[in-house]
Amino acid sequence: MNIRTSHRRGIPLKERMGQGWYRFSRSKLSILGLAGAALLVFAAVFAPIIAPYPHHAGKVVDFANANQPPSLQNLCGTDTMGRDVFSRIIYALRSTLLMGVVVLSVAVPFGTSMGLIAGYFQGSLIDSLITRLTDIFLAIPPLILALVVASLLKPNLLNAMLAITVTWWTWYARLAYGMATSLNREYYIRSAQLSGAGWIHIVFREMLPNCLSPILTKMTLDIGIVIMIGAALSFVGLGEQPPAPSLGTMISDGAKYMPTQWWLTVFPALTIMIIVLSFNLLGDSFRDLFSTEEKK
Amino acid sequence: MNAGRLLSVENLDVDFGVYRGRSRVLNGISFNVDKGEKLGLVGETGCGKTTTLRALMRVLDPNARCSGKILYTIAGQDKDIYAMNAAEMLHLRRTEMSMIFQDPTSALNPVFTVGEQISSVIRANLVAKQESFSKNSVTEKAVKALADVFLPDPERILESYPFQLSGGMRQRICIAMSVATERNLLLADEPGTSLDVTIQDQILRLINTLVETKGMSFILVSHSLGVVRKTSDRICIMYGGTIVESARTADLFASPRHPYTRALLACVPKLGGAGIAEGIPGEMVNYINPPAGCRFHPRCTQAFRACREIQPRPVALGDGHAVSCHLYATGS
Amino acid sequence: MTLPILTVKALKKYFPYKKDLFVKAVDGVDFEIFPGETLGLVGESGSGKSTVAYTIVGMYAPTQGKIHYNGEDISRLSKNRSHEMKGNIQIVFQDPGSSLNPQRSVGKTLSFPLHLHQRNRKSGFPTTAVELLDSVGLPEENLYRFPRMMSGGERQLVAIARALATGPNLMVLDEPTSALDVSVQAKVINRLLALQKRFDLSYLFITHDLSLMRNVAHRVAIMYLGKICEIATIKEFFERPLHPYTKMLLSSIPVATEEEEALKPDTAPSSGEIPSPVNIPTGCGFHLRCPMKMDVCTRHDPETTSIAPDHKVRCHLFSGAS
Repeated sequence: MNIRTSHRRGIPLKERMGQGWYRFSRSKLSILGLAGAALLVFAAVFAPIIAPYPHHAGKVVDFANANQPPSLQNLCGTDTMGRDVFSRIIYALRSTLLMGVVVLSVAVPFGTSMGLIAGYFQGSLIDSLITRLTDIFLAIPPLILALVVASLLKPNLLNAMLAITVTWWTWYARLAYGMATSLNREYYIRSAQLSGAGWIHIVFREMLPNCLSPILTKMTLDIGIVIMIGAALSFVGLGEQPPAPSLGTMISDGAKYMPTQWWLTVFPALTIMIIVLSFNLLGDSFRDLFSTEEKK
Repeated sequence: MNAGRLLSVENLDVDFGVYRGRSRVLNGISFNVDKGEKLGLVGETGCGKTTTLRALMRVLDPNARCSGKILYTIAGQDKDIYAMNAAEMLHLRRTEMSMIFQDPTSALNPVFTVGEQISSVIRANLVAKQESFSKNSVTEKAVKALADVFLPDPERILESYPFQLSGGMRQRICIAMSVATERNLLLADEPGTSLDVTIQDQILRLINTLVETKGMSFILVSHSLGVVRKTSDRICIMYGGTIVESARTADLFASPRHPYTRALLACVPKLGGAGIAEGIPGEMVNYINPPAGCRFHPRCTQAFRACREIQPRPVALGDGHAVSCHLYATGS
Repeated sequence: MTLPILTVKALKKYFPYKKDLFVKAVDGVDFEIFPGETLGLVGESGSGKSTVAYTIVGMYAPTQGKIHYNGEDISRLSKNRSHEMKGNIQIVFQDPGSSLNPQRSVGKTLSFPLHLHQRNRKSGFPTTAVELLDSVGLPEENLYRFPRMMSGGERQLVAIARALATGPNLMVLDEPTSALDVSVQAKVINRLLALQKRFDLSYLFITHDLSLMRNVAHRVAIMYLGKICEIATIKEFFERPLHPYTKMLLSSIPVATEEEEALKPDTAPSSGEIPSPVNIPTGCGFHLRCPMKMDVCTRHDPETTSIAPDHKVRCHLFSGAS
């Protein structure tokens, strides 16, 4: 094997991933989290194939079969309109996970950049401006802030995502700020400065790769929380509108019928629990994985 | 066994489980320490000297596997350290052996005062020896221990926290903890390396004095030949988990035999200003896939066929000087 | 008579510490470095040697005093110096573990300064990453390696290559081999000496190891608590060490041979500890530990006297000597 090809991309990347897997797989909970997350993503992506009654996610009415308890034909029972709850849950996974992905895809890069820039220019005007801004947003509980923003806009999925994104970037800014201020003292950063490097290179090429581990960990842990906030928004009617299925709406609609038609609420709630648990376990295991790596 | 012998290590092998397999660090280490003797273990980073010390006190990583024998003489009887159970081992650590670490800052617990830490060591020792004690007698011993290491104002130091003291003082406290109670064997892992050279000099002289006045045996691990020259009666040179040469201090420096010893001596900058040798070609041993035969052969300028195939055994050159090198092997 | 490439005059660097108190890290330092020579700066912790280095390089701005490079005044922070000047003076740090970005490959780490200074680099210096690696004796595959895969010695060689990338005239080496094994140190030092000859570099070599200094430097300066106690050529220094602190340092060195032991001065062995630079004693900073202390030492700070053309010392024992 040619030395050059084997060393390309800083090998041993394969070996590094192999080592990572070795440590990751030692914890059963990590595997559980990974399996759960993988299963949920798979179900969301392949919803039309997995859901037994895909059309029930849309405008369907079948009063003959309404309010049936869980059975072999309807694993989670049917709702007041006769729609299969299980299929609706599978389809609801799509908007739920989408919310998590979209919110984080926007909030994380923006927040991290803001935090890194403020941290690099610690003590300057830019630092003060960004830090004050993040402090303001961080002072308000995210759910309240999201509710306020969402209620000012037309209720739909997109605006719900916007509402959460607006509040969420600040956490990453705070995280990145702390890391940037400690990285400022590293010799390799000083070396780059002494050679005349510009701030864009230093912030994004030198500092950012060193911040990825905690950010990735937080992102994974956040997916669960973002999803819960999204469910809370749709619970009060500020998210995905009917007839599109949404876990929060399903819970709020079914709440009226507790405890007799318990399946209307319990199954969507369980689903949320599984989502949050899986991503929490995954995030925890990332945190352990990255911390042991640093110890080497 | 020799009546004056305290410790006898025979064919110690240690390997660790890692991702890529097993890392075979120590490979047939054998050496002895007599009562009152000062032994220096010298080697560069990664040669296994710290692993050797840890193996002696049985504080290796849980995934380490050891084979071979470590015989320790207590009350005239030889006991294999690895055959001891947990209680016997604890007793050994409380009464017979103690260790001084390289970095005194991390060896001391920052949330307890110096007095609390020394007292706990003293109490553990007295409990193990089943002697009675009182708060006052323990404090007295602690004060005496600090005075033994020439720390001024011991009472004030006992009340202080480690962060309030300098690096040199912290190292003295670690030494005090080790010699506060009567021990027979002191292990030191590069003491003073993290300190300034003038302070290191003081620390080494202090350890020397204490060891001699208390009649303790002493194993000093260091990467500096100059340091062991000042403090040891005998020196073992380690490379790649093996002992390549051992001799009395004067003999080792007067006539180094092993190619690695010679290369190492040539690399040390001399005060006379004669320049520094080029360094030793090659890289440190890969313990997962170590070289066959002599572990030094890939870097040795005098290697020949036997070196690549057969592991050299120690050859006695007389007067306690032994070399593990085929250049000196009798016979073929 | 060649002109010095670097001149440091009355350099002071104080760091504020609580109200009205200062850490006087550097308290009046004068020296020169000539082209192609190595000046060794020796001192223990608290002596200020690293602060001098960092101020010359521009990580700190001087509180007082001047630094001149080839006649040009550079007594300010690096970011306020010209881009070309940034390339003229480079530094190699002590800890190989943290001087390279762990998330960047060696190739990227080296090509970046090459690219930044491609216009103002002098001819004769390497122009590609591969050439840089070659000049420090590392094979090409290292382009794709990351610092964590490399040994301390290799990382330090990469740090040296990175410093060379801008085509400097003066390199500040802050204890470059203190963290390395003796055989690796030998390799790195020999490489540094070869590079000095090849590129006509000047070195400010900082270390606490006098045996190493003996084999590397042309002239030596000893620092204690922010001031230079003695500065001389290597020959003068080892033949006639004058200052009591110098003698204490020399007698503390662990040496490996009897001949070297004979070279060490007879003196009282070291005692006492270095006072904190916040609390510098009155008079001569060393008097608390000095075996030759006189009454005047507790009251007045000594002036620097020239004992020989190449030998200056700052001690009351010698003031008044012509």
